[in-house]
Amino acid sequence: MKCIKYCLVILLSFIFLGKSFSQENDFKYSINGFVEIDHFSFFKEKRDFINHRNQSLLQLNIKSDFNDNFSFFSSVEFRNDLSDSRRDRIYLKEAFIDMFFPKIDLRIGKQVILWGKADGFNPTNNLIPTDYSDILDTDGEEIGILSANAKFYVNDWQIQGIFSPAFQASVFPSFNSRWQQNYPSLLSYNGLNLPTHFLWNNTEMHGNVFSDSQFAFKVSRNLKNLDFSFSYYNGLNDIPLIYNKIESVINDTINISITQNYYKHQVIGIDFSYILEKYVIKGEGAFFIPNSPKEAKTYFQYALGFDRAFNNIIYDKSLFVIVQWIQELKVKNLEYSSKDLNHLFQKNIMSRIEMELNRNMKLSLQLVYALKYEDFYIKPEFKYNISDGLNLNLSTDILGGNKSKEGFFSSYSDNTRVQIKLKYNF
Amino acid sequence: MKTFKFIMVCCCLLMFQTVYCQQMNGYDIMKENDKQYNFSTEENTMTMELINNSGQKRVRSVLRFLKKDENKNTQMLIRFLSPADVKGSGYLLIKNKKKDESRYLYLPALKKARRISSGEDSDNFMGSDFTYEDLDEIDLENFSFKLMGVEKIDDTDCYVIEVTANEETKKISGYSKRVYFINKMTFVIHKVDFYDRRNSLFKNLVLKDIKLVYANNMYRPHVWIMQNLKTKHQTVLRFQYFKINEKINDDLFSVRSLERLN
Repeated sequence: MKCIKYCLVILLSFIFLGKSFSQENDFKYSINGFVEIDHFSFFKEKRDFINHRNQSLLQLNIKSDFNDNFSFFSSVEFRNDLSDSRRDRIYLKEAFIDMFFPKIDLRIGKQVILWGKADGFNPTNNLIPTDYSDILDTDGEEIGILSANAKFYVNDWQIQGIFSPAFQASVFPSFNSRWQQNYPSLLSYNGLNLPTHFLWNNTEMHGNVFSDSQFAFKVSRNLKNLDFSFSYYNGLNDIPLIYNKIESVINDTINISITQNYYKHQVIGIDFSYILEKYVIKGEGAFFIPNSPKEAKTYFQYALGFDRAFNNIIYDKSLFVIVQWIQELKVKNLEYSSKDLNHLFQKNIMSRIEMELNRNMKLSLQLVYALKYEDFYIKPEFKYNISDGLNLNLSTDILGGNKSKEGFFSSYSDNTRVQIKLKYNF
Repeated sequence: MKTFKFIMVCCCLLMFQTVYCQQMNGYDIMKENDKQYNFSTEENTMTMELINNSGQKRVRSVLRFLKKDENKNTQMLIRFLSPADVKGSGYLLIKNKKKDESRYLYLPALKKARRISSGEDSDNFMGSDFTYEDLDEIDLENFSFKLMGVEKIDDTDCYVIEVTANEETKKISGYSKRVYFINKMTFVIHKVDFYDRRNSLFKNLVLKDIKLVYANNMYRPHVWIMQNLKTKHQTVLRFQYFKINEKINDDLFSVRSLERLN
């Protein structure tokens, strides 16, 4: 309720402030957004789990231009899920002011900051948390952070600095979500299969103290055929490190503690995109250097690939192809769980193909194959533009592969599903 | 006597003009037409109606800024104003005479500009019946021009010029030839017939509502109707306004500016 009041007060105050301001100044504001109805069903139903989604979504965006160099933007989302009321929310997605000076752009407030030039996987993108409550549907689920974001323009160079005083964690699947990780009920111990008992250690809370603040900067340049940037991030990882420890074996039961640790780390990254004839070559890589605990180790993630448009991208009958290789390099013999969101992609090939059948219909196919786990994710999608602003999407998420390797996609092969979405932009 | 002399001078000038015009060849006429594009900056807004063979219509509107220098290095920024699902998107093109290009696309959902690969000149512009080639000025040195005669288009006498690309340009052009119908008085294009690579007529462009927009010699058609004769698809461009040679800062044609559009 507090949240509703908070959002409405901000929205209304800016509308009224704008209206009164407009009496004397050249003030403009616009309201836009979208309404979406979204349904999905899993092919295999599971008892005690959420097996459907029937949600409606309204996003309202307000942009107010006080003058050419000063504006305000806010975005509020209203979500109602008939199948899972815990997903209901009224949520202030973004609310910030923009100030533009001759060589500096300044944005202050709650904002979504996305970094990286690769497609779908961006190791340099560490500033904002994400809502992973539905792991396959994270598009537009980035969570804005309260921050000051300044961009300086010096000749052809752009220097960006960001400071965020408060930490915000990502959102993870709820306990009866089909994405919740299952822990084994039996474990082998001294040659015997013994029942297990898992205990969650208290997670250290983070958020509103100065030591939990994060900062980052990026230096970028656009040349004739090449764009590149170097970046540095220092802050808490919004996806915790989860590690298990056998505490004791009592009465033939293994007691295992699970520790969830939001740890500080530094990330040094580089990304580029390079035009080679009709191809755009893209690369992005980052070193992740944890400050603590000892369980967290340094690792390097990168993505390298290309895209090629065989015609125009917007509106036209065209073919667009992305192919990308993703890899993680880590300390020898160290293994992460295949379900650890920090390490989902270890040796993967990703591809996306989009084909516009005509001016109103588009087919796309997304493929991810994990070489290490021999499992895959395939998403065929059909998009129909019913009228200007009104789109219908039909898609399926197909997960599968070699179950014995316990990869992410094969472990969740029961979560193969069909989705239908109707979206109207206004 | 003074009046008589004045009339004689006028008659001589008129005769000279007539003789000159009679002696104009295809190249000369196209050179006169080329002066229509002798601007350093242009800003316009247009709506684009895409009409399929069953009459269904889709409408887009864009704001377009163009800037070029004396070497024909061109910069273009397009901002999409409607429909709502692409509103706020932007497109930046920086192109020099050697055809080196940088193209960026800004989509509000991505929150960052994305470099995109160079397209072909024969690619369609925003899914319309226009190609980039149709919207670009032609480089006179790369084409040959043949004056075919004079025809009336909407009661206006027009030169009929056959335009054929040279061998190098033919490789990247979508056309075997084009036929231009150019106003005899103003040298403004009224109609263009486009012939595909097999030399059959497949598109025609009719330009209407031609108005003077700058000084006393720069005209712009405010309605462009392009009909694809094979698919029966049609695109109508309606321009709301043109601002010619008004100051546009170079900073507008930058990734910074593209990302600020939203």
